[in-house]
Amino acid sequence: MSEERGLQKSSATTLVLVVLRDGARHGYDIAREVERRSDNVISFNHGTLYPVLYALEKSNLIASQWEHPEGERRRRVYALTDEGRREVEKAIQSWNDFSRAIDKVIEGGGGAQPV
Amino acid sequence: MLSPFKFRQQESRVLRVSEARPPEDLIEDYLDHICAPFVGIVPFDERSRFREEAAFHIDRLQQSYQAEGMPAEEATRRAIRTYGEPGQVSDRYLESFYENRVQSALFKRIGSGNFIAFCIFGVAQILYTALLQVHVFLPSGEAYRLPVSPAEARQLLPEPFPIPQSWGDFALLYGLPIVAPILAGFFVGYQVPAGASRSVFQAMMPIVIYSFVVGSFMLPITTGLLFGLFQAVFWIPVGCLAASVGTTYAQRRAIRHAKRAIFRSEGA
Repeated sequence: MSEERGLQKSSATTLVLVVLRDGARHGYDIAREVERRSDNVISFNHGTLYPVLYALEKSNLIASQWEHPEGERRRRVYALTDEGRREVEKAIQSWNDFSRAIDKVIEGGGGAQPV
Repeated sequence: MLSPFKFRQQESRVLRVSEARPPEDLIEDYLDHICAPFVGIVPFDERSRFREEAAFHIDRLQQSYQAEGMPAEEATRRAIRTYGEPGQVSDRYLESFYENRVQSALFKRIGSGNFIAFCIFGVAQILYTALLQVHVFLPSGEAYRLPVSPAEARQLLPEPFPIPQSWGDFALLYGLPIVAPILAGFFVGYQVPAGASRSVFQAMMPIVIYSFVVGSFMLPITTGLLFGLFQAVFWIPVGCLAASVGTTYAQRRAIRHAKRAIFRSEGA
């Protein structure tokens, strides 16, 4: 597995967990919410979201159940588990550390001058 | 790249569907394309769940595009494009399906497809490297004698069974490296239903490097280096192609089996 692919996969996982932190949602809602919060900068083939959701469910980070509102199609709704809540906090912390580190590199920080 | 996230600017490939069909048919046709590779691999409950979720998702996308003022058919096509190219969606699902079933940490880290491809091509590599070593370091022809002479073999296997007159250096030294990637690639494709070509490519990279290293140690005899070169220009493309063929064959076989099972149960 390439590093880039691994990074993108873990980003997808983090984004899904973060969106679910605010409450249970179905797949369409999750995808739209990621796009909305990122001002449509982050977009993706929506069909590839479901394998991410299934993997998270397999890892017990999220749980799901069918919901069948009157007169509408049945949909599967996903919600964070307790383990998922702990994981999302860790993921956010680690993302913030990473982001701060990148900012520092970009800003330079007045270190040693180039030779 | 099958990763779910990408930038908006990279528009997904347009689904090729015939013109002037009702939106529901377009969606059903699209879902058939996505789910066809799952038959015989993914249990019915899981793939029907995936299909139902996909149908709901596309339905919602279509509604949102229609609410923006698009005509029904255009909104459906747009929804299908947003959902993703069918091959990519089903490949990603199958990869995840396999990864989630594999318990070993090593498998998960390098990917089960890569692991299988590396093992199979690794065996082919070891066999041929051993053959090369024997060929290079033993007196010519010495290593390729039959364990019994053709005359002795003829006593054991009378006419009309064909008895080879010699091991055939040519067949071994040239035939094996030509046939190996075809067989190994097909076998990998048969075992790995998604991304088999990519797995073969990734597994072959360290193997080719290994060949060049071994070849360098064998200098001034250049046979090893030539083998490394042959692997780079022949094993990789042919192995990848054979893997694709193997995957297609395995999928068609799985569909045939599933159909037979359905007809049997209907008959019963």
